[in-house]
Amino acid sequence: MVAGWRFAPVLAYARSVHADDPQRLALVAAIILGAAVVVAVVGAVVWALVRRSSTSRAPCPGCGTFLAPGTTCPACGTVVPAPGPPRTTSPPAGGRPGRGRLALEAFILVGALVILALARGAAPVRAMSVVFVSIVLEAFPFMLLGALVGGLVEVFVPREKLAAVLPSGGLATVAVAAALGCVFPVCECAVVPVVRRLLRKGVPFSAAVAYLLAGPIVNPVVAASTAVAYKLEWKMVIARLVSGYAIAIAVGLAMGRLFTKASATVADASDDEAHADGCDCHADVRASRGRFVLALDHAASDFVDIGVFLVMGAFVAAVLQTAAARSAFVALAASPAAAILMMMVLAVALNLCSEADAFVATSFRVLPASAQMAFMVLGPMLDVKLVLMYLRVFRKRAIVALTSMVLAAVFAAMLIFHAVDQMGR
Amino acid sequence: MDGRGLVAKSIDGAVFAAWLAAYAVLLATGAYTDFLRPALWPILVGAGTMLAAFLATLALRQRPAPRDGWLARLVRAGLLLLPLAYLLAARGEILGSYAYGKRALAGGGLSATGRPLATTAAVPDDEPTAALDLDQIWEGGQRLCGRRVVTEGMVFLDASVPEGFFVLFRFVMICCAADVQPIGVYVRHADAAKMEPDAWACVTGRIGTMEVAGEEVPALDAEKVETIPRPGNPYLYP
Repeated sequence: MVAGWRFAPVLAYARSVHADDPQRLALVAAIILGAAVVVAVVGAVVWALVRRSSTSRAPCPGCGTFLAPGTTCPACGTVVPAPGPPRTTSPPAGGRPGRGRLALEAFILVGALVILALARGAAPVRAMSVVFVSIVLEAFPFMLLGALVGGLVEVFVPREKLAAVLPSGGLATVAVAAALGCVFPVCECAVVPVVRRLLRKGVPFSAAVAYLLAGPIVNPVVAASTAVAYKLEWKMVIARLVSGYAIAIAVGLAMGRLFTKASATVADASDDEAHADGCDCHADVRASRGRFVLALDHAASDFVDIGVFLVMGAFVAAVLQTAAARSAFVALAASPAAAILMMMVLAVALNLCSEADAFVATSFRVLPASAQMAFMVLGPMLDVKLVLMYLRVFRKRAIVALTSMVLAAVFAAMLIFHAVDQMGR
Repeated sequence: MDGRGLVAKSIDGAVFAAWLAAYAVLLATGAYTDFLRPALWPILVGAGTMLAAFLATLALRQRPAPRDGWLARLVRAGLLLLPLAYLLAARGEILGSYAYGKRALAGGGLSATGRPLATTAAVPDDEPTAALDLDQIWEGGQRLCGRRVVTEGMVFLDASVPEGFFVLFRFVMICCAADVQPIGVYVRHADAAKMEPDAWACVTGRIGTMEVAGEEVPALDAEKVETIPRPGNPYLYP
């Protein structure tokens, strides 16, 4: 009774909505069917895009448009080279950052200011304001740290050293990269700028993806917080780390098969474009002012560049958090598969930190363990804020492929986890 | 450095300085606890230190001019400063009954149509009143049934709360206000309908149980309900 008290209202509610309700079951079935159709369509589009890009065309070094090798790009006038060995750096950007990005940024900025000006006294806006400020206040210090680490990597870590540790995009390298969080624990906000710099430094694309996905899960801090939240229920701790690790390796390898670094990553931040590796100013600055100052300079640029996307993501997340009633998600979770899907949607919408999400997951104990696990595994890999931050690392088609594969892999892994969990009972 | 580079430096510098000032004020006044767990002050100190280092580095920067225009830089600076605008608007705010209604998994207050509040237990009347937080009442479970307690929380009232009751709730914060978990108990009170939603109340009463949708949940049979000012730490911490 004592242990059950905390969740008694939840159990009661779940039972009341799980009772034979044909309409609700039909709704759940429709959602599952719809999700399957979406995954199938997205998969088909991704496959078509990848085939188109990897067979007969190559990315234009100037603007990224896929064209036949040897032709001149009509957009920027650059000659598209024949496909060669994998590049070790991102292609230089041609021209200014896109108007689409500026339009998105301006839209969110103006929209947010209008909401603040017109409805700041309304209860939903007041709640949203607290959540928005909280997410940013908590995330900025970690993103600053990630930017600083990225800057230090850029200046102090020689390419040769990284190449020795992570030599190629093979299974061994990807497996090592996915486990780097154990020695270098980072949260999802900090890992994005670090990965961007690692890619610049020549880390294989598949290894970088594996670290990006696994770093915020497979680390001692997250293991400890999960153990505390689940009161030392080691099954949940081990399952979270193992499934996060396996999914990161699988997706990393798959992304490495489908994309080259050049075709998947965007040019560097606007400030860095002007002095990419090899330019004269880089060496001059090194000689005159010290490498630490240079690292700080890179970190400051990364903070400005990626921080914008973090703020936009935090704003969208705060709106979703404020608008969505969590009881509705529980109500729709009428079967294990539906529960997993609902918790995946919730993980993407809530944008919680990987150190804290286990505590929120425990409040959903009325749902199967697999659904709680889906929440804890997907959230650090994929949420609204992260997808926006990925825009400063990956091209859009790579993001579509990455998100599709992560969603599919987490869903499949959690179905397997559910089956194993049921057999063990 | 050309004019465009100078503009870029100035805009970046303004962003860093504004955030540095915000962190300093939040730390100095303790206002950050409206948004973050108090124990997280070191990360704010770290962030402030890094921003100060960025500002100092900016003065030494001799970068070539960035390629993006002044409008793009201004929009990005505006976005980076947007949370500070919301911070100013949300100063003094904490999550209240609106957030409780959205976050409570069982809704704000389920229709309690089952067995009414019962506080039967072999606890003597002269036992001293225990001061407990709401999470302690939940954790204590049935062994606390019949105990006289005094506890604090905010008031939640909506159509789902049965007549003669209000919900006394608080949020348990793990790291920040984005991850708070709601904890609430039903309070039987003669003047429940007159309670102001979002008001802070101190309730003295006996712990009991009531049946809600077939399950027993903790509840309080109020002997005294007082409206109180917001406590220094509005959130609970596990």
